[in-house]
Amino acid sequence: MKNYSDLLATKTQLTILIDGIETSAGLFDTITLDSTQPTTINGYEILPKYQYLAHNNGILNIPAPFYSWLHEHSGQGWLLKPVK
Amino acid sequence: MTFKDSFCPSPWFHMRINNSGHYEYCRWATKQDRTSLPSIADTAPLEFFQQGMAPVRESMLRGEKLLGCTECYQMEAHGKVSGRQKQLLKTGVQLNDFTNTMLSSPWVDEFKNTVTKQTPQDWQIDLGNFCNSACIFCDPASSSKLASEFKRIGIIDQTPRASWCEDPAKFNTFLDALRASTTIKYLHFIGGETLITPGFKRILETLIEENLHKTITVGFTTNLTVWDQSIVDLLKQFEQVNLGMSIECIHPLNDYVRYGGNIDDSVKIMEQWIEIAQESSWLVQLRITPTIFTIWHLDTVYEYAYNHNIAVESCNFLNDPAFMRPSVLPMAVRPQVIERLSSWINRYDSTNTEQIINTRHPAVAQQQIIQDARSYIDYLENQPDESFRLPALVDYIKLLEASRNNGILRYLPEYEELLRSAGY
Repeated sequence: MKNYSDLLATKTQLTILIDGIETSAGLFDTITLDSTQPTTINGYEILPKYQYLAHNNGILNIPAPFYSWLHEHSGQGWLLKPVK
Repeated sequence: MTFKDSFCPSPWFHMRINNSGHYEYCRWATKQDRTSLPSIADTAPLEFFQQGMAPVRESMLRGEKLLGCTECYQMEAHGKVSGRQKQLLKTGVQLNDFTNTMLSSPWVDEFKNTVTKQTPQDWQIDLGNFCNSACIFCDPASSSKLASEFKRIGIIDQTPRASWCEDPAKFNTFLDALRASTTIKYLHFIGGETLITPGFKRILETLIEENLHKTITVGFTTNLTVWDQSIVDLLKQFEQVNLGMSIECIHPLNDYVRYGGNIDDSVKIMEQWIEIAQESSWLVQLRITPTIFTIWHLDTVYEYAYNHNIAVESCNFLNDPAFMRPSVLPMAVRPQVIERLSSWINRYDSTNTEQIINTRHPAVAQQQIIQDARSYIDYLENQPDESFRLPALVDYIKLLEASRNNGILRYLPEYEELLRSAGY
């Protein structure tokens, strides 16, 4: 990848590993997880690490995009946003 | 060269006004001729940001490495967290997962606009050169005391002009731009010495009057030689403050390098700031500028910071003045400094962890300090030997010492053989 155009042409997705079973989702998909099952997304530990964010019904909802959610909850500081 | 290795989002949300009132595209950009760019005297800040910085953005999108970005690339080469990495993180992008985080960034579509309608969210404001210190690695554009001394001993013919923020017209232009920049998140001020620069207090007062203190985080750096309770009281009204305290080592050598200060007094002032910062939940950093001299005692400042759980940060690996770079230390001498830093690291848990980019996060301050120490070890191990600059260093300190009636060997006797070999 040499420039911005190459970046925009790149296709990618999220690889979700739930209790050893692999599934996938789009970068901008909302993700719903059963908080009792150990889960990684693109290699990042999600459960049990973020189990405390699950609802009482045991469901962890990750609003899209996943990486903005991860930024917020992994202590990465400000996430600036452009004015639309 | 890949896009990942060169791209920086900073020009889409950040700009700088330097000490002479000229604009720059980045606080980390290397020192060039800092008076050739548009200035607040002739161009509105937002005009420079929105249109004047378009060529920088175009280069970024083409995947080009800019000359002004050299210091960030050098930091990354030695495992030091660069300004580029910090700015990428503010847009949600991390180098260890670049493609995914870039495509997920709230800015990914905005990046296509090289002429932007955005306004700066992160500004660096250099307030001028009012300063009561004359640090040996500083320059007249950043220290009025050093400027006067340089003129007196014949290094310069003229001292820099008065600070841009002392000119009512330029100051009002700046305030108008602040009011028009509705998305400002962060203002970082440096001097000179901020606490003795009248413009600093006036800007804080204005931000409070305009009710912007509830939304803007103010950052500033102070040299730990003065205290102004009226400014502290203003700062306490802000929602968030990032405090940077300049110090090189907890050793009398600090007095030689940061000339005009006294290390015992500086530590007392530092502890006063730390107490207030804890009470007010401010983020605190020690700001260091390691030189060929202070790198010898760098472990002392890391130790202090580690014990107080305070992050340590330097803007770059010092490049200017070239003869003051730590890389002027000959390869034959470097193992002694490396050993001092390694011994210090080994006193603590030195397990390698993932690189910490959010260096202000208090929860990881101690890991961040070890990470920073490791980057200086890497630098000393790998940065080419520039000991050919030693004679220029000796010429320079002899001039200063004649003016100041002091001597480096009183503070750093360990360097006697090295400096004598270069004509000291």
